[in-house]
Order: sequence, then structure tokens, then C-alpha cells
Amino acid sequence: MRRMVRVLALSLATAMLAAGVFVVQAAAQDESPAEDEKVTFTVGMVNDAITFNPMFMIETPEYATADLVYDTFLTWAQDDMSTAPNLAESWEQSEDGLTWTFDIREGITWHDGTPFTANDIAFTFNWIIDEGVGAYIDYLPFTDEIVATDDTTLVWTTTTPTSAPLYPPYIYIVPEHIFSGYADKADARKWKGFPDAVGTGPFELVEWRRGDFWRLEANPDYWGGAPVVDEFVFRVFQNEETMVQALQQGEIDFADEVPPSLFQSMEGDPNITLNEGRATTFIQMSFNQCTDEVDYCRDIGWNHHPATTDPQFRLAVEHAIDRQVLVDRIKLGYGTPGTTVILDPRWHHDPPNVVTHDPEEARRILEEAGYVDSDGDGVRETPGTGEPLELRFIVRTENPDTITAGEFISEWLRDVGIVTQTEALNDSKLTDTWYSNDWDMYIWGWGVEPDPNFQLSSYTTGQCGTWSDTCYSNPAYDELFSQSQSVETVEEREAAVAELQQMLYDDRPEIVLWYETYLQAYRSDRWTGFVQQPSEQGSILFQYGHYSDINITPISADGGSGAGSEDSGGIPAIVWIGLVGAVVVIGGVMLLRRRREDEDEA
Amino acid sequence: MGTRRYVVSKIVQAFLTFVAILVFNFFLFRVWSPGDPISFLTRGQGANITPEERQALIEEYGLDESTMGQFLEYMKDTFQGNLGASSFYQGEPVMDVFLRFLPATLLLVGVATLFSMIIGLWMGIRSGWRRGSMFDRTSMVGSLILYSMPEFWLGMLLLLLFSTTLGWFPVGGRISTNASELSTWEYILDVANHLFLPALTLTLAYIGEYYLVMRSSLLDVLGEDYITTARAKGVRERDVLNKHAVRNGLLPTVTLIALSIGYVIGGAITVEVVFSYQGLGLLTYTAIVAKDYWLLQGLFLFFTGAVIVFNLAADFVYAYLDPRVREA
Repeated sequence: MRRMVRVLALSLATAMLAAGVFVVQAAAQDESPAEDEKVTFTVGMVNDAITFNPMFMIETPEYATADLVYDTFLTWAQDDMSTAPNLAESWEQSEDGLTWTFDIREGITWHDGTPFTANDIAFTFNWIIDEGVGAYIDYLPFTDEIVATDDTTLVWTTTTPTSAPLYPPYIYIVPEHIFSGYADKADARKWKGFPDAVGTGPFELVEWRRGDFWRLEANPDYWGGAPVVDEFVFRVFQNEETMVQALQQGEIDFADEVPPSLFQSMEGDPNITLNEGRATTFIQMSFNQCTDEVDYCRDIGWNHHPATTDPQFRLAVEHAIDRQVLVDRIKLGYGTPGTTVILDPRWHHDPPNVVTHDPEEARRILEEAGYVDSDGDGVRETPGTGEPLELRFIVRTENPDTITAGEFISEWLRDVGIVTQTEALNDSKLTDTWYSNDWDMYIWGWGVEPDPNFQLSSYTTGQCGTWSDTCYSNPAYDELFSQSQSVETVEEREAAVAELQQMLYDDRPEIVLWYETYLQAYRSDRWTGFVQQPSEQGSILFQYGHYSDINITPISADGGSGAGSEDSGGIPAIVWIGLVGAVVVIGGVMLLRRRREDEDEA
Repeated sequence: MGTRRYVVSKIVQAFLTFVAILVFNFFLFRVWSPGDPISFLTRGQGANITPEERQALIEEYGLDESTMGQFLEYMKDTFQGNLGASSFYQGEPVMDVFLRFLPATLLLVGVATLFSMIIGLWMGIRSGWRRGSMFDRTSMVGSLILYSMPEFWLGMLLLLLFSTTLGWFPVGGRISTNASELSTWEYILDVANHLFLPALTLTLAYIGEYYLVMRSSLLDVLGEDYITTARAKGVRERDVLNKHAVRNGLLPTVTLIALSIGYVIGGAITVEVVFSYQGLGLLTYTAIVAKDYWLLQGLFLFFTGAVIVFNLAADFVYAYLDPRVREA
């Protein structure tokens, strides 16, 4: 009987404890959403951020964040990605084409309240040139001098007539009154962009829990209009699967760069809207083009199979490849077979002579060029030297797509008598190999800016050892490229850009395999107001400019997920109580049983 | 005396091991493995770096010195308590990076070890005591399954069940993004909510080890003569178990526990990845990918240090529990 009482008492105590916990918890939950209806928009990211210092960023989430905090000098229009005013309102070029004068917007203040002036822009640009900031310096070519003649006027003089200042330079403008405090580049690098991030953008970086999340608060005084949301939060995930699950659970509101298979898995979810944006990335297969004619190759030395510099060989390889199969099998159809290296519709050139998948033609071309299998082992030999067509082929461990693509391509090449030795390398190893010019072929990718200038510059001879994938060297291309930078009308530039793309397509130092569709997903049951850039098939967030950033609007008054964890908070509280209760009960029962055993045995 | 000599010799041994590992780590990362941190910093063709800038970076990180010069510098710095600056985190002191990741791992691993130890040992004792019973058979099969199941797989199953399907726990992370606005009580609950699934995964994964060792060691002990003696002189069954069998049976598990705590501090890389839980395991992975010599050196120094210290602790505890060890 006494035992019964004890069990009862224990159960009662447990129940009371549980109830108490629950009440406290419920009370705590009641007050928080009611008092401040903060609207929070939460985005999932797969990479962590290392620095938000605009001069030293590398990773995507860093740029995505800086985009919210800082402004650029000019920007890209929302509808067609043409050059649009931003911090600079209007501009004109002098008669001789050497001087550009920009009118800078008035009345803008930095997040710390200091007035923004043209001096800040001049300071930023000159700091980049003086300190040699790798990420930005190519946006400021032919610069003779950049000065602010007064608070609202910026004068940019160049050594040759150019429209480069209009490209627009993708540079975040930093405050002179803060950045001038750094002695040099090494000193500036120590500042990780937080705390004290001072920009002119629509959001301020206010909290950074490294590795977990960072939070931005709306800048109500933003010159382009105050954002609708109060907060913008980035949350870090270690893998895409969890990120997508968090979106489906409502813990986050937006997922960026979703892999195709996960993207497909969300089809039919009524709460989620999927967006297939126009490609900004291509995957290419590069051939080593090093010769002694190119300075860097000569200085460092080079080693590649003689066939990689034979245009007929590369043409045959392109015929052997079935791009549609790569898109269908690797990207599950979320991509398009590639042609030229410029993706933006405004500048993209469709070559009239598209090389089709035709293994028979590949064999014919190889035969004709003298690559004949004379010893009957299934591998062709190089004319002259008799060296078998056996090439080294590098794919990237960091991007499994390239590994699969490498398998397909190796198979197709074997089919036409070319053997590959495929090796998967990580990016740092691949970079080393690439610097040493000791390779035959590799697969890598490019994220291409809306403006074609930078991408096209990477194929000039002078870029060997810096940006050039292949050390491709064609004097006619170099000549036309430098002309394209100094043409005066847009039509002339369009013609030059198209011709440059055609040249690359015909010379094929690299074969563009496919364009990747930009896959984004968001909670459409909670959010609206996204704006596409460009209007047709554009991306809906992380754009060039603040089109979506300031317009995202919650659907209901209590929308927003910052509350995400609170939404699901109620159930875990009960679970916790249950758990604690279970532990107490089990412990109690065991204690009682042990006592009983003692009593029984005694 | 005997005891003092035992203690001193163990400490000297531990110190020598530590130095040997220090030397080994240097060569392991800098000499015997390919790649270097500079290539990683200039990765993806994205840093657009000229050969001159590359050279400047190499000098900035002191990699232009000879291997011997770097080695001496490294040994000197380490003994002065300076672990250097991380290249991946762009010059942040290794110690700061390390301390940022440490608490999460200690919490996760500590909770998981504690629970798996209590449950595993209890099950092992019960199983060994009632060998062949229903409990023994089911728990044997159960713990073998858990023991052999890959942690990340188990983690994903739990995630699917408790987060995706039931929606009881957050999908990942360490704290909610509104953590700064929570009251203390809410904050604790929030941390617990995020900790639950990864800790449960690790607990389940670790139980098997404790269970199996405890069970077999208890079975060994139960065959000993002194157990028979105890029973013969009429000691109560419960006391035979608790006072005679378990005390002796625990000896091997002491070593196991100490060792596993040492290893476990390295974090559980796969579980941390599945639950996006930022701890030392993830940090180690990052450091390896980035070829961050300084971070790797610091981390491995800590991991090996932890194993050595806990090993030493095991030796002492063992000696305390079992006087025969001291005299040997």
C-alpha cells in the first residue's frame, strides 16, 4: 500500500512539473510574436562566409550580402540588363572620347550618418588601382585619373577612348572616412567586414553568428526607397538536402542555387514556387593551347599532347560530344546545350554553324587529318610522330557534374578512336596543374557577368597565366578585342562582341558543354513581390541591383519565417516535457523496483 | 616510491609522445601531402592573382622559407603557445577560430557520450548478468545494428522522421536565427531543440560500443573463482553483481571511456554535416580542403593532446582502481 502511494505521489509530481514547464513555455511564447511584428525574410545558403570586407570576398554568400549593404556606381537595368544609373545619375563622354563626366546623386548618407559624396567613389576606385585589388582592378582599364571635382561630380579620364566606365564596374563603393584609416591592403584585410559595416545600401549588417547565420536590418532611409521587410537573414547549411528540407518545413523562405534533383522533388508542393532563371554559368571543356609564342608558356614551360593545338582534332572532339545527353542526364534537363561564351541575351551571339553530334563526321575528320589507327589497337595515332591519341583529362572533385560529364565524354571519344586518362582533382590541385601548363584537357566552369567585356578579355594572349583557361593566342582576336573596348556606339560594340564570340566558337580553344539553369525556390504561401531580372526568365533574388530586395512583401500580416522556429516551437516543448516526464517516471519506477527487490530479499 | 615513479614515468611518456606527434604533424601536412594553402586562396581562377601577388602571399604566410626554417619557426611558436594565423579565415588567429567552434562540439559530444555511456553500460551489465535472456538477445541484436549503422545514415533517418515528417525539431543548425531576441529560458530550449537530433544520433551510435565491452567484460568476470566464492558464502545476488562483478568488470571500460572521450572530441564530422551543426569536425574538414596548415596543426595538436591526456588519465584511474597496475 505504501508503495502505491509513493508511485502516485511521484506521478503527480511529474505531472505538475510538466504542467509548470508547459505554462512557462506557453506564456513565453504568447508574448514574443505579439509585441513586435518584425517581418523577417530568411534565405538559406550552402557556403559559409569568411569575410564581408568588400575588397576580399570570394564566396557567393559574401557577395549576396555585400549586395544588400553596399551600392555600385552604376547598375544593370531590371528589364534588359542594360547600363542603368545608380549612385551616378547621368554621364557624358567628351568629344575626344578620353574623358567621362558623371553626375553623382545628392542627399545620400552612409549608414553611420556621414554624407556620401563623389569623393567616396573616387577614393574606392583609386584605392583598388593603387593597392591592386585583384577582384576589381580589371573593371578600371585604361585609367589615367579618377577624381571628384566636387561633391557631385566624378571625372574619369582614360588613356584611350573607351566605353569601359559604362560597363558598369561591379565594385562596391566603400566609405572614404573609414577605409582611409587602413595603411595598406594587408592592414585592410584584417577587417572582416563586420562589425561596423558602413554602406549606402538598403540593409545594414547588424549580427553575425559565424557559421550559423547573419542578420541584416532594413535601412529605412535608403535613397532608392525603404525595403518592405524589416530584416533579411542568411542561414548557413552544410548541404543542399537540409536546406531544401528547411524550406519545406518553413524554417527558411528562400533557397538559392538548388540542385536539379532537389528542385524536381519540390514540384507540386503547393507552398513553394520554383523559378527557372536564365543561365549565368557555363561548363566548358578546355584544351591546352600553349606554344612558345606565348610569353607565360615559354617562361614557365609547357607540356601537352600535340593534338590539343590541332583545330581539326578539336572539331572532331566536338562532333563526338552529345550535349543534349549531358543536359538531360546530368542536369535532368535544367540546362541548355552551350555554344558561345557569352550568356546574357543582350550580348549572346548564336553561331550559324552549330557543330552537331555526329560520331561518323568525327571519324571522317580525324581520318582526313591523318589520325589513323595503323596498328589496329582501336586507338588512332598522331600523324608524323605516331604518338597514340591518348590524352590526359582532368575533372573536378568539387563539382560531381564534371566527373559524370567526363565519363560520358571519355566513352564517346573512345568510340571515335581517342583514349583519355581521366583524373579527378580538387580545385587547388587543378589550379596548380593549370599554372604549370602541364595538362591536355579539363572541364571547369565560368560564372559570366551580364557585360561581356570581362569574359571576352580572358581569351586574349596577355591573360595567359592569369585568367586565360587555355593560353589561347590569336593576334586577330586580341586586335578586335581591344578595338571593341574603345568603340563609341553601342551598335559597333554589339557587332564586335558577336564577332569575338564567333571567332572563339570557330577556333574552339574550349568547347562550351552546357549552360546551367539558375534554380531558385521560395515560399509563395508567405511571400510575394519578387521582380525578375531580366524580365524574361530572370532570377528573382541576388540580382544586379536591389529590384527584389526592397520589394519582397509578406502575404499576411504575421508572415515571415524568422518566426519559423517559433512556429514549430510549441510541439517540441511538449515533447521535451514528455521526455523529462518519461525519464522521471522510469527512474522512479526503477528506484521503487530496486527497493522492492531489497525488501523481498531481506 | 612506486606510485610516484609510476606517475612520473607516465607523464614523461605522454610528453614524448606529444613532441613526436608535433613533429609528425608538421611533415604530414607540409611535406607529405600535395597542394598548398596559396593555391586554395587563389582557387577557382576567381582571385585573379598575378604571379607577383602570389609570391607576396607566399611570403606573407612565411612559405618562402626552407622547410627546416619553417619547422623551427613552427616548433618555437607552438611552444610559446602561438598557433599562428589561419589562411582559410584570412589571417584570423587559429586560437580564435578554434575557440569559436569548440563549445558546440563539447556540448554535442559531451551530451552524447554521457547518455550513451549510462545507457550502454546499464544495458551491458543487465545483458551480461542475464545472459541468454530475451533482454540479452534483443539488446545484442539492437546494439550491433546501431553499432554498424553509418552515423550519417542514422542521422538522416532521424531527420526524416522527426523533422520532415513530424516537424518536431528544426532541420539543422545550432540556434534559431532569432536567438538574440530570446529570453534565457527560450534560448536554452532553442539550443536543446537543435541539439536533440544530432545528440540522439551520436548517442545511439555510441551505445553499441559501451554495451559490447561492458557485456563481454562482465561475462569474463562472472567466470572467475571469486564470484563462485562469493555465491558460496551466501552473498546476495544483487551484491554479487554490484559489489563483486561490476566493479571488476568496469576496469576495461574505464580505458575505453577515457580513450573514446579523447577521440570523440574530434567531433563527429558526418553528423555535423547532416545537421549543419558547426563544430570541430566540420572545421577539420574545411581546414583539410583549404590546406590550411596552421589550422590543421592547431586542430591536430588539440586532438592528439586530448587523446594523450585522457589516456594518461585512464592510466591513473586504472592504477587507482586496481593496485596491481601500480606495482607492475
